[in-house]
Amino acid sequence: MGISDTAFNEMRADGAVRDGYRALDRWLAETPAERLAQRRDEADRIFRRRGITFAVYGDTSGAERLIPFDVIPRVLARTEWDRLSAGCIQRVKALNMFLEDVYGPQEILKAGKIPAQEILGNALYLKEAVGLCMPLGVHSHISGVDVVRTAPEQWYVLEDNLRTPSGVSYMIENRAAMQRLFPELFRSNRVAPVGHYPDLLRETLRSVAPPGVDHPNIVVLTPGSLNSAYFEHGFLAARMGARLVEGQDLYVENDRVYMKETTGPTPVHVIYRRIDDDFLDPEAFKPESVLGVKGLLRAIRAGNVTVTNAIGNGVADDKATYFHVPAMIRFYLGEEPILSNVPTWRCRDKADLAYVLEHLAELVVKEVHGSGGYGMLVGPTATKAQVAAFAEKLKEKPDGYIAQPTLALSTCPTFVENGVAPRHVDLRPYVLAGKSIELVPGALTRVALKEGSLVVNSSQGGGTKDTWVVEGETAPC
Amino acid sequence: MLTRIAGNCFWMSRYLERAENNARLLRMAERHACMPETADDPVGLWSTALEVGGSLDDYVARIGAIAPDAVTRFMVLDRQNPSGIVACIRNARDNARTARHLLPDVLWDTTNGTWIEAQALDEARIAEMATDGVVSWTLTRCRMIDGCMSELWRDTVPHVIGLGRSIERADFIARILAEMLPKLLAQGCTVPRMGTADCRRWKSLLEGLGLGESWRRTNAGVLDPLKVLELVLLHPTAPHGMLVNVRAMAEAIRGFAPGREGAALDTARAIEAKLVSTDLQAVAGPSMDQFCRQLTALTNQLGAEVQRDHFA
Repeated sequence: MGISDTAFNEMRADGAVRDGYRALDRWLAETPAERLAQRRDEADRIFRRRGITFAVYGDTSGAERLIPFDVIPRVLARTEWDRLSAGCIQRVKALNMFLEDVYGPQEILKAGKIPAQEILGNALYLKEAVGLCMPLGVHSHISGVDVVRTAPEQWYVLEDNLRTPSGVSYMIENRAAMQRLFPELFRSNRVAPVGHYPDLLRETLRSVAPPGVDHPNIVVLTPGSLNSAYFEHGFLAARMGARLVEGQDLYVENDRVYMKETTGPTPVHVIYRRIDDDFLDPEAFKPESVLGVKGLLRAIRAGNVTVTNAIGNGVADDKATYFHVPAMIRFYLGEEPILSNVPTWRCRDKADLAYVLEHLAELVVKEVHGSGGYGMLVGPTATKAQVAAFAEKLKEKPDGYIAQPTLALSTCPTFVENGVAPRHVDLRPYVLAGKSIELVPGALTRVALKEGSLVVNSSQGGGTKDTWVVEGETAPC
Repeated sequence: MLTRIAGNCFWMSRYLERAENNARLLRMAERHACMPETADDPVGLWSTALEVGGSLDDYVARIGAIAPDAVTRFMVLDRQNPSGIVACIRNARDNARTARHLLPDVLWDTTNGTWIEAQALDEARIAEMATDGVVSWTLTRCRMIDGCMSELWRDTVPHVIGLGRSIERADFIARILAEMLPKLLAQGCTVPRMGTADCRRWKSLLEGLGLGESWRRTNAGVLDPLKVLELVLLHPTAPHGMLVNVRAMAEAIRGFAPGREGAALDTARAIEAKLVSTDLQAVAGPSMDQFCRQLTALTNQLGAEVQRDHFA
């Protein structure tokens, strides 16, 4: 019996259809596979025509690809969502306090709750961010908290993305596609809307404008049209009514940021950047960067512009610090974590490394600074040779890895070649933090389309689903 | 509006216009190839079409002999031919993609949809559609995109797009006149007899310019070269005429950069002044070469000034 057979099935448990899924179950029973296939093809056409595509890093052909879209939505009951979103908010609150603290008074380190060397010696702890005064003390304005589920009440946080989390445009476009393709489904399910995310984002960004700026000029800073998430950058800019700018469109003069417009220079107050720290300012970071804006750090330090997310957030969301998030929640909020961390072995500890090496074939091993599903080992599906090769890597550089048990990610019904079948899923809700901390009731569900696979990343063959938070079901379809 | 994005809108518009212009050139060459005089002159207007599109040398170097099917493939499909229809549509779409956050959804969808359809064009599809089908498809899709422009906010963007269109048209008019007038007027400025090869060549010029319908509205009947030149250069309302587009350029520059018009506006005014003071008899006679050279140089200069002063 494989992991897929024992995993929690979100639609059916103990032979019964779970709450929230009943109308969908009836609809699936009545809908022929041909219609689903026809609508899936139509969805592909819509996505392609609207240019909802991405480029794969390393693919030199420049071809734009679609992320496969599954036409069967994932359903979360309102009660499930409320607990999950409370857990995400709690986590992001604590992580923001942690960032404000470690780049400031460092009280959590002084209290010995986290070994100081682990933070201050982390390559992602940026001296350039020390003492930065962020409006409202917020460092992570947009956070993508990756969670997985293994049982009805058991959610685990896989990682906190506090730098430039992407994918939210798919959450919105997936919903738009579903409403167009299957309007009847929305008549029989009270699905909470997600389309106001860009409005919330705009309000969040507005609330963290530099002091004294009542009507901030907000821009989205993109690396350019060759970036894999360029569609999303343009989408969010358009939906917020903000300019989509590249580094070459901006300049700094007297520690103030301006953009070059046909009518002359225009001041910029809030930059929602989708560029990594290293490339943000050639004066402060990589001098060869042509993507950033020279002097931007000076403007940030002078308090004339707010850059979101703040620089230096990597120290809070890398896989080594992840281990300490429950301690942060207890320290800053005096609360018990609502969402669990996945049990984690840190290979930097000798005892943990010994355990990991012994159980490598059962574990998932990840690079501390890795992302996108690259550079990881999924022990149960790896060959003996791959396991052996990975063991050598671990011995060579134990600090660079953590290991976790292979979780049986929950499954959702998914339309695949053989019809409707369960496939493993994860979930990324997006938490917006400014004057308030909020989520829209929805998230991005990523699905591993290959039978038995646990890898949901789009760069490795994963797809996406519309994610519904249902208030309740009404009449049958 | 960001200057860089203004440049994207400008080039999107230019490439769409260029695709249309090349479609018209293709239709002109093919229709002319159906005339009896091409039995003695198989190259006909095929080389003219390539020359006006600025790609004759490239064609000869890479493809070789002028042959209708080969020229058609080159003008439609060749990805390395910057004037090729598919290449123009791709460039227009890529520029639109960079600026898409500023464009209405329907405009982006239609532009991107055109590119998706263009990718399905290949030799077999061209054979199936015939050249005229490809030309019609190109003109229809470009007109559809143009129609979507009515959804644009009436701010800077329509001016920039209008500037791209009118510069491309003016440049095209200057190029086609420079290429075709010397041959048409080689025997002097005489009115050709109706139904003759000379008459058909003048009509080809009008078709290539997209002025066939304008000609019929204004001067149906005897084809007087001076009247053709008047329509092409001086008519105040013909959409594919020079004067209309030069005035449109000046209006667009004033519209998107008020107070910062720069040298481009001066050049647009200089072209207009030159046109309205033109002696058509002289253009059709001894000063033809000089006139065509100056017109081409001025439109090139204007394009360079716009790029330098407004979109850099």
